[in-house]
Amino acid sequence: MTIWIDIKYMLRQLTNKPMFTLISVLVVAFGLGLTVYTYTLLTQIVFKPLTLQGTTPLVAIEGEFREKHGRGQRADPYHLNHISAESKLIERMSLYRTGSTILSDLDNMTGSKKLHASYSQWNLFEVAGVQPQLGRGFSPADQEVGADPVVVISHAVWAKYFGQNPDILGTSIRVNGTPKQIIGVMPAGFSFPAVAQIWAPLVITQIQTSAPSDAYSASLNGVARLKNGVSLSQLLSEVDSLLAEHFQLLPQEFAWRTSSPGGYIRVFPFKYTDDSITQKSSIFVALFLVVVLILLLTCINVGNLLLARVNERIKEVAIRIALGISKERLVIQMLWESVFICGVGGVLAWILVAIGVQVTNEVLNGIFALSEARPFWWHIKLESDAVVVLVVTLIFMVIATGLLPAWRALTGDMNAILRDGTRGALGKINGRINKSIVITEIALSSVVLMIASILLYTSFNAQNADYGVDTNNRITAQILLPTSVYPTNPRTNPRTKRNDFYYQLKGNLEQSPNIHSVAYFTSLPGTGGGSSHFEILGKEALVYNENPLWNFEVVSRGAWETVAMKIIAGRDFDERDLDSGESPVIINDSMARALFPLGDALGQRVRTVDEGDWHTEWRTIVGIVSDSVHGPTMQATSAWHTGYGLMDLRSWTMELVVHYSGSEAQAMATLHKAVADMDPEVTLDQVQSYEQLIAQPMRLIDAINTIFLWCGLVALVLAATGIYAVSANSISLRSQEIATRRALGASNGHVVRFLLKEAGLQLTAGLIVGMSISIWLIYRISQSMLIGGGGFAIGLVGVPILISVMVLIATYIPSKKITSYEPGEGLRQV
Amino acid sequence: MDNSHKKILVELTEFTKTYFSKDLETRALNNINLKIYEGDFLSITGPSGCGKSTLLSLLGLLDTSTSGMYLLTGHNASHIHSNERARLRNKEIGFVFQSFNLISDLTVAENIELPLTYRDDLSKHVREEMVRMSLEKVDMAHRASHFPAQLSGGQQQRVAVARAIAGKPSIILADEPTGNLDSKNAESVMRLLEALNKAGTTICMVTHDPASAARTQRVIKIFDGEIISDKYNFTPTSVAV
Repeated sequence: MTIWIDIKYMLRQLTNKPMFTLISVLVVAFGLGLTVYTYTLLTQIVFKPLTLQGTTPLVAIEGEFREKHGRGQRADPYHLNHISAESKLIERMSLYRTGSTILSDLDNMTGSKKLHASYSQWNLFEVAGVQPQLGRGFSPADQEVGADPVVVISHAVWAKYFGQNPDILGTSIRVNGTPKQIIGVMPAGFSFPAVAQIWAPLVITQIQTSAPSDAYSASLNGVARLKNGVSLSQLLSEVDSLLAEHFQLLPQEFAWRTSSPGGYIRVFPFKYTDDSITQKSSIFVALFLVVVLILLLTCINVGNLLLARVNERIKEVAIRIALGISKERLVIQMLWESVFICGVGGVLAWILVAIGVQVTNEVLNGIFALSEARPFWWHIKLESDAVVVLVVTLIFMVIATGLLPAWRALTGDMNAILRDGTRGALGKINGRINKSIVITEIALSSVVLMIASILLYTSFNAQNADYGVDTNNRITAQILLPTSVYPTNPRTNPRTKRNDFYYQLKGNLEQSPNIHSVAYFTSLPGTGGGSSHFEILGKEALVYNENPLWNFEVVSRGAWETVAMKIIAGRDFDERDLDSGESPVIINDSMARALFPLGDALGQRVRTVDEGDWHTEWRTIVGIVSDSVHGPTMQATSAWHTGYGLMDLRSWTMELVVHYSGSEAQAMATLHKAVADMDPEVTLDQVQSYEQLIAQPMRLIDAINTIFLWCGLVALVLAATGIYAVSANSISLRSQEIATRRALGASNGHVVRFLLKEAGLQLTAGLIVGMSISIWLIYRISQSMLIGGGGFAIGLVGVPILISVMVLIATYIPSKKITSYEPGEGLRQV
Repeated sequence: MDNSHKKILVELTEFTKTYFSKDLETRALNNINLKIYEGDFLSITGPSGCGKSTLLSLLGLLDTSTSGMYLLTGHNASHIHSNERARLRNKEIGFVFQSFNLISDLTVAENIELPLTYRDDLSKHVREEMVRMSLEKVDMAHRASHFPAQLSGGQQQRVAVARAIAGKPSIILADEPTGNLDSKNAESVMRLLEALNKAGTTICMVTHDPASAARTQRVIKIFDGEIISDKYNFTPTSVAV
């Protein structure tokens, strides 16, 4: 009964102050909504262990992560098999590698289709705990030498290319130019290890190697399921000791693996197999911290609003105490408002999160529409743990925001309040708490705004950066040649069928009136990136990694004009280079100026080097080309120094760039027709404009930055309203002190200056704390993202100025308001 | 009593204060005519809500009248700019409040120095000297570096008196200065005020307490916003601090 009375009273109080109620509820809704949304996003994409149909986590066992490349490496199966055989903590382990393949000769379509493929040991589905919904998975017999070639296809491929034909099993399809029999269809949504659309077994000789090997083509990844009750750290220790023994037995040429930086083999949660996750882990951590700070900011704001309400009602509280209310009942009364505000805010927050999740999935659909490379766990869902987080956070918020006012009500000198009717005198402890609230509010706001503004500026800058090329009227595409028809020959036979195809296609396209020119790059400027060490003949460092870094790409002859780059010294590649036996290289201007400041780059000989004395052939610099940047300018792995080798001497997979006039659609149609006319088994993939190509690697960052933008906007609103409310409340609490000062002769100017000075001190303290945290966070973020000077200027100068202005306005307005009253009013305030 | 030889410090003529709320008009003071002379120690008494505190607020320039004339030390103090009122308060008036109104973050010395810091013509050294002298007058020099919370109620009120006299004002306005004190401390504060008056300070005190009022030279009674009696006591208690 008493509870009902309290609830009715609370509702009356809240309806009497609709603006207060609305603001409080919205602050909770946005703060809490952002927290639950970010939690859902980060746990599902990054932090929550992947279990699939099992109960224990899946872990990846792979090679080292090359920071400069931004990529994880595969490992020698010689060691992976040893771990698989000897580990006592692993339930099952499977070896695999991923790649792409070409599906051709399909009934319901013309041409061919590129698919993401997984090549694995027979037990991959057993490790995942998922079996085909139609047909069977692989058996050990499927990986024997000479076994019939078989594949399992994804539900999406079955639906899209085979109309969900129930008699599909046993059908032969051409995969990479070779007929293979479909033996199974996986359930909908399954694309383990990450983006697979088709699965094929490796051959036993590829899995069970009898000796160590450095060959990249022989390397594999491992995925294992932990036994029940085993932690990742336990497995790490076990693998360390297993490898220590195994490395002891390695021949001398592989001894470097013992001391490989970061460890030759890593064991880590499976979701980190996505390189972008590993690369951007510091950004995710920063995002998580920022959201926690926003949650704190929300609590402070709501707590402060409720505190201000108690201060307004302190005489009423004093009367209740005088009438004999128990402490418990008083605390419960104080908590009811908080329960209501947080409860309604929580419901709104859940609605906002649901909308956010839907929008995120749509954004992710857009990001991966062309590449179809969306890891299957990147489908965000609201799960039960999000409800738990919402409820737990709500309870935390109710306690945090309700207990502060309750404490104020319990610790006030009620006798004095009833006797003097004064509420405007701030005790020493209350005064300090108020100052701490203001400082905390400023510190938290500045951290969130600094990080958000720096990231947004950096992302914006990267999108508008000069990559050294003209992207207008250019389309790009990947050309996938089936290896069965276009084998990857060694460089001793330079005029390969692959390169013949490329040059013939170039020639055919350039005959079209709407095509100006065509070129091939392994990665076009603005994309790719990742650097390796290289040594200059005569200036070799003693240790390979003390040599300078470069990015090495391969281009076709006469490529520069197509992307509006220019040879500025030396010469372009030409027919002379095909049979000379030399390996010519053209470097970009930045590299020439940085590494050959005397202008003597031409004629110098360089080669890429790596651990274990690995190196390429010596390459002679024959030309210098205008500057280019590979990879987004904001990405730490992006390369400003690039050397370009000649496509004709290699048989690599190339990207095509077409400079056209007229419409983009027409240019794309011309391209498709030219390829189909030459060979219907050749697949064009990711045909898009050059602008879209450059924007693609940044789309994930853009999506994260959009969240930061929302964090920034919410933080700005929270900061603006919070700082104003905290300052106004702080000044209101001091109304009697201010009136006393005025009674003693302080003019309005004295009072305003005094309050501004105090606010200035709190501002300084808040900014020092906020900037210290921000600088630490920025340092962490800068490990995986390049932050330009402009970003620092906006974050570390612009944001403090913005916050200073906000604080000064938030102090000035209440100061002017309080001095607009007669001092007598302040002295007798009730 | 013949006051013709005395200097008039305060002169109110047809002084009125009306409070306006949404649909209510409350006349707190009605047509007050009052002169306060240099050296007076007068008390204003009356029942609760009669307007005595309002009168003290108006005398202290903490509020503005609705109509009438106010001369303070010969200056027209009615309807002047708030900054000029602040300057006059600082220079001519000292306040003693019922609840002391000391600032908890400031030490005793800093509280006393506070009104002096609002004057531009006093150096730090001069201010410190004035603080020291006021503290000695109220016998609180040994507590200069304490914070208000470390003092008893009586001691806090003595500090408030020291703050009121530090700037050598023309008049001290005391609003129930013994209202929050026990009888012993109340007696101590009354003795202090009497001693200050004897030394030449003009004091105007609002009080409920007939005994305290009886110790002042002059007693003004207010009822329903009007002065109903203005009488001199010819034998005020003579005490030494």
